[in-house]
Amino acid sequence: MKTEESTILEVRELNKSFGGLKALNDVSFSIREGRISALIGPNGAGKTTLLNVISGMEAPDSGKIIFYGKNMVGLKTWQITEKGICRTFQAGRVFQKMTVLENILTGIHVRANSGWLSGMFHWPWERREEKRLESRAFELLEYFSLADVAYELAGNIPLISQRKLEIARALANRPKLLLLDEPVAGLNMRETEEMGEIIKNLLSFDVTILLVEHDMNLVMSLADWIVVLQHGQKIATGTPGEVRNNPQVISAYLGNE
Amino acid sequence: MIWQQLPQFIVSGITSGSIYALIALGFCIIHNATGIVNFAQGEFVMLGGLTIISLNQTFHVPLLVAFPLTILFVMGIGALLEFGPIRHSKSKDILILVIITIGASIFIRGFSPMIWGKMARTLPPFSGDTPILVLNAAIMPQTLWILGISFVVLLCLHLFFLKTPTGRAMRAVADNRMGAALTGINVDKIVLLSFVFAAALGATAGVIITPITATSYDSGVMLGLKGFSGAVLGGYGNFAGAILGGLLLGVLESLGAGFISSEYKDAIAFLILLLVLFWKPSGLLGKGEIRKV
Amino acid sequence: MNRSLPTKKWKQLLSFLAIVLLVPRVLPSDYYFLILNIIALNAMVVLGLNLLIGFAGQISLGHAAFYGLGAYISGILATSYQVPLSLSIPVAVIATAFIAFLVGIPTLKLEGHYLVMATLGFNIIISIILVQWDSMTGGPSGLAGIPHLKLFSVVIDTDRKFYYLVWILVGIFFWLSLNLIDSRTGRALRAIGEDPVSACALGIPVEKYKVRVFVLSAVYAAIAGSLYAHYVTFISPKSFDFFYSIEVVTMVVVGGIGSLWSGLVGTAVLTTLPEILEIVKEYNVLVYGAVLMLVLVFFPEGLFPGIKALWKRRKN
Repeated sequence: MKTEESTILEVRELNKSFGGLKALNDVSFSIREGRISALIGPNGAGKTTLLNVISGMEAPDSGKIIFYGKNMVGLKTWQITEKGICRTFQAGRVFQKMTVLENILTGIHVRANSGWLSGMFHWPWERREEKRLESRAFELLEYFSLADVAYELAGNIPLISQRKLEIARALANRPKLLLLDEPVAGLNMRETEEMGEIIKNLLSFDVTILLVEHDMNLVMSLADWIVVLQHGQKIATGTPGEVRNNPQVISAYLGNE
Repeated sequence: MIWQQLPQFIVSGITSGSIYALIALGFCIIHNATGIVNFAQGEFVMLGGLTIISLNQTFHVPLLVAFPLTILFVMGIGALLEFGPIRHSKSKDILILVIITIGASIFIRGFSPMIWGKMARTLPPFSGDTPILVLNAAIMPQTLWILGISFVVLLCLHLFFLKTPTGRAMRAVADNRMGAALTGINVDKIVLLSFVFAAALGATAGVIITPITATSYDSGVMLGLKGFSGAVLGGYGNFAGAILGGLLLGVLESLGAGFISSEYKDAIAFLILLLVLFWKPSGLLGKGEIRKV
Repeated sequence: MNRSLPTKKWKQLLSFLAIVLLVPRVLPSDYYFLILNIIALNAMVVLGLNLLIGFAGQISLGHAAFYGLGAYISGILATSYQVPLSLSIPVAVIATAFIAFLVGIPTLKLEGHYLVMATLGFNIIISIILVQWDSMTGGPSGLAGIPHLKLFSVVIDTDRKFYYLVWILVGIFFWLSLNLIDSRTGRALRAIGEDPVSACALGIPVEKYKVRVFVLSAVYAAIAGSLYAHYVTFISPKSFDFFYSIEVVTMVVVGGIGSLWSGLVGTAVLTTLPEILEIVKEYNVLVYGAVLMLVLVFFPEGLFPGIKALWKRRKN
């Protein structure tokens, strides 16, 4: 039985330097379960680095990332995904040469079992599992209105569909924490609205969301809680109302844009 | 005592190492300009050797003239390779281009017996074969030629890249291809030049080594691969690394052949290659991660 | 690939089987069986290699070593130690798989030309060992007297008999490989080949899978190698040098990366090409090199897909 107030992710004193540049400077914050939280900040604030560290693609110089009580630092990306944190990528990275359906099925990889031998021989139980996976995949595709392009190559569908596919694929993983990296970058107004609606409704999948975005309107309308970074440091946290009026945040954005 | 032979091993190691260094530089230049590994590099060496043998032995052209003529000829082949298959390739995918160079290497290796036959040929040493005794090592005069010419070539190359506008342009392309193109550098011309230079380096190596080890239509293969190993050992993509790696490889190979086993001599070079790749793929002088995920 | 259309795969396999069974009836002489058998053996190696190169996106220029290890280990066990084939072949394959595993772990961490060179270096080392360790391998003069295969008390000692055995095996390997591509593991491999970072982010243990597909491709090569040894009964190190590695990679690329049936076409073309050119013997190496360059310059997607594309354009 989970409470709305429990912490799902705690970032503790993360530090990361690249050469002489300090990308993350003693960053600490907590994300509550079951909510949409957002990570914002001007360009170069360290948002991408932070996402990379949380998802295991970069190792921090020091600090901890506590997820459900366990420290994720030092684990490989795929291990972190197995444990329940899944991320999408800026500008989207669906598998262009695979069909839409296959993209989702690849997303389910972690939650399925058939191995190499079963793959080669297609034993009955492997075929049953594939059928199960396919029906789960179609459920997701239908939710995202992608079912009619299920057999199209992912590279051939429109941009907004590819973005939706990427989120769907990450969801196929049944993650507990979903990291969305600039999901509306490059989308027009109508598409951004559509995406916003989708993200808002993602909570029905029993998942917590951490959103990295530049689009302020989107962030303010979606997020329950916001973390603001500047120059690798956390300068503010709070509800959209609190952050919007925070003088440090205002000057950070006005100063840099 | 085998230890008395140490200076000898080192001398012969530096000799072959100079050759590897020249070949390694050839790989380096093409890689820096294009990102590909030129599998035909070894064939430039072979062509250098066989061409000068023809000019000097068959047509009695004096060495002083034959040398530059040979280099020019092989440079032409290098230009042909770039101008033809590489430039016209529909795909710019690196794997495809690399396999095209493999095709070129096979082609050249098929072409050469038609001109020179399959027998190994050799050139008399440039200035006789009376060894000079230094410490415990008998140094062949040819070795001094090899070391001397290699050194001059390297010096010229160094000055070229440092001082001339074309040389600086080549370095710019190596550093950042897109950026270099944006500043108006003609990248196609640089790519062509890199092939021409690599051919010249290979041919030089072929010419100066021929008096010591005979050349035949397939002697380029091993030399090319070992040159590549030297480049990797020193830090692929890095000029100083190519030179250092080539020399080091030559010495290690020679010591290994002397002290461990001479039958497995060729294996030693590749064992070193594997060890470097497994432990520090960026090589001795290279920096940065080559391993991902 | 859509599982609710399994008929496409079965149609392909059945047509394949039909062709295999019909071909012997139209061959003018038994000589042709020899070349068809070599094509089959190459096809096995190429199948495994295609999984590695075409799907998982990793290059190896060292597979001749696995082919050779399969041949030599089984050959040596059968001749010097009188080990029955039912044991020597599995031992050879398992031993080769193990070596592939050990080599694969550090090697598959590399990318691009480093990976190429590591596999090439490994191949060369194995070649040199095969030549120099003559007490065990017979050295450059090779290993002779390797016993023929025996299947249910039928000795496979003619080209014709081997033809049926090897091509049915190739069919089975195709079936297994087609299955694998269309499975959870296959999708993971294809994901790794296209975008290893995304694959990793989806929870796929990329490093582990790379090593496993490498080992799998080595197993295909080792099985082919053992069959080869017990077919030709005499093997020498020259057949397993890195030129062979280059040949099989070329077959994959010329056939069309990532397409198993195209790989078979590439194999057939490049295996028969030197035979045809044998007629103009002096020029065969030259023409092989020229063909390689021309195909890759103008049909980089492979001969088979390239011709299909041209055909489609003609129709429009």
